[in-house]
Amino acid sequence: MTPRDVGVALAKRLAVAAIVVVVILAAAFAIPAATNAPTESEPLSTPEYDAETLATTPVPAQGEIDADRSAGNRAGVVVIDESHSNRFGRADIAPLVRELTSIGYGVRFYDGDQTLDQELSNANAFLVIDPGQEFTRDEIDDVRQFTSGGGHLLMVGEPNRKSISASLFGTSITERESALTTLAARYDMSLGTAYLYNLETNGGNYKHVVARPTSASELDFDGVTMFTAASVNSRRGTVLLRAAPNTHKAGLDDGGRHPVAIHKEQDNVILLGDSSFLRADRFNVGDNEQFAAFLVEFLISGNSSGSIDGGDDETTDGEDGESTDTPNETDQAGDGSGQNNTTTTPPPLTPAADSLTPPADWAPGSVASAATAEAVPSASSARPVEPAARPG
Amino acid sequence: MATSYVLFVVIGVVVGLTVAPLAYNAATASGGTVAVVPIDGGIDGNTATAYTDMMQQVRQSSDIKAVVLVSNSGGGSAAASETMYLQTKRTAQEVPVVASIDASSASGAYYTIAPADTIYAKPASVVGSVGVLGTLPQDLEPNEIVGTTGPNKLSGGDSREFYSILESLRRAFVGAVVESRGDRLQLTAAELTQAQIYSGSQAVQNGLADRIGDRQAAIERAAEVANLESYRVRTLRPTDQVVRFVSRNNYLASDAPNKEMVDFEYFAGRPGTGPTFLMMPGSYVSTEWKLDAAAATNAAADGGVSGSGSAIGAYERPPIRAAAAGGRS
Repeated sequence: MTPRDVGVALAKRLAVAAIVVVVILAAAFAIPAATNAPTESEPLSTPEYDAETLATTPVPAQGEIDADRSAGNRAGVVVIDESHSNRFGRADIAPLVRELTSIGYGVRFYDGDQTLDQELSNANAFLVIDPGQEFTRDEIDDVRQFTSGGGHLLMVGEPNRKSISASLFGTSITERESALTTLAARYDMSLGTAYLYNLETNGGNYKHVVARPTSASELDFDGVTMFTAASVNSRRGTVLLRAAPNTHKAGLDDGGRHPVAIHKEQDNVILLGDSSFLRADRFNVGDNEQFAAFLVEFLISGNSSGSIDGGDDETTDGEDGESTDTPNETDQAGDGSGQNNTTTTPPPLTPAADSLTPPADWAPGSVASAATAEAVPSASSARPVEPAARPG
Repeated sequence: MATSYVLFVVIGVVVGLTVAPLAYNAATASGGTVAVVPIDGGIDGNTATAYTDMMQQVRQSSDIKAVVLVSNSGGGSAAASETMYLQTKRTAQEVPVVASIDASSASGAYYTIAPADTIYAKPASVVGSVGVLGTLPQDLEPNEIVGTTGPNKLSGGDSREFYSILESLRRAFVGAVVESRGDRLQLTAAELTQAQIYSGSQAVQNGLADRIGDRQAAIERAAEVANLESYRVRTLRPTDQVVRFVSRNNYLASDAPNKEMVDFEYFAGRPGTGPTFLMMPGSYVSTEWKLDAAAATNAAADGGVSGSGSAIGAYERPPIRAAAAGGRS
């Protein structure tokens, strides 16, 4: 065998070896590729996670309180109670005070150094926010005399809250409540104890209750967002704001359109179920600043001279005190106290408990301030969550 | 002659014994495996990772024909719960998934099992709590020590924006339950949003669960749905994972090999350390945390003029208080 023959034979064997290597490598690649199952066989459909339905936008907070200055005489005084362990900070009512002072009204805080009748003697209005102590009989007489003389009284309450405190002796839970019972009762008014919530129409959270003006209130705005409010009741008077349909009191199953603001014109008094909507970071949420402007106008329009500005202020719960009220929005205790037989119960605007369809006056888009909380993100019931544009 | 017969008998025995296992296996062969996947303890990132891994095993194993989820959990992190929900839903597309609620399946744990074909519960099971809770962001302002590029970089946003995010999470959760349970659900979305806890028998009535039964019933149902006449049962467990419980009931009911009791703060973080979203019943909130959170919430959301002192003091406590219950192994 020549060296050339040896070389040829070697080349052939190397070629065969190379082919074998290629075949083995091809098999090593092809077999697993053929036997591997695909990791995920079909795409996952998640209609329940549709971003358009899930995403929410907070109710816009824009605008300033712009009260009608002609409502007052530009030289009055509003007294704010600080003598009954009232639970608010001055910063909490800064927007209200700012508007009052910009109009030219003085704001005095009553700390109890002098008697209440002295303090109120030249005031236009008395503002009582979330007192921690009840008013005494004498104080109530003073306030009653003040309002009878034309002064305006604005009572602002809160629902009962539980407070947890810690000390060296352990923790304790105490329940705090707005001590407005005796004062409000003198005007046949009362404040609910349970907070209101609404799981369907709210300002972004079930405790952020959206309330609308009633037709009798003659208020012209869409909705006020209150933050943990109590219902208010009155034997007579005009309901200014009612919560959205199907609003519940905490702990109770039945829902309704609970009043959260009532005006008794003949007694020159307004009772509100929430104070937090007046706070510096809440006063212009939705149409809150427009309701705050109404409250400022109410405060500055009180009469400090002692004369009676309404003509019928001395009416004490008489049957003739409702000339300004429309029958179906005159409060007869809102949630069924039924003390006032001269008015009829408002028609039930609340849909059935299992219905998510709002009544006509709460139709989509009609509540500019409500970031609706439709619980079912389905096409049939989902409402736009973008609040309508509103004037700044 | 005899010798030759013996030889053939020996050959026969050898061949027979060699082939016998094959014959035995053929006679006892199962149609597949029903995998039992425990959902134990609070749900956090580790839980979701382990669950994702087990669900992938289920989907990729040709032998696993059905899955039974056994829940002893009261929920946990919102993001982790959503991950587990999606994993369950993905798996249910491929193999039958049946759930058994042992001690409880509340909040994020119920979220996880919602896509199951059938949900079994025991009368004493705790079911429901469909909702989200979160620690409100503190009203913090960048100062001379901490600089930020935007006003919300430190706090994440104000409380109203936070509530808006919570609402989005609630919609996702409620929508997922409504989508998963369909016509079987007797509760309206608003009733579901109440986040109430129900007993197992109540859950069967209101459609959050389908039947009363234990995990064995669930296994049999899973095999039935998968058309398995004979099957093996195999429990999948994450390796080297300590399962952490907030609820003692779940702790006692779970058969997790490594488990410990932890304080609620393990999941929630220290109050005031930033927003945390949890899908967990409020009833699991420990007294200490509730105290701190209440004080912090008052300060942040309600403009409270008092109460922040106790909250500040509480931040100094360690975030995890390992409970003395210990673990069985």
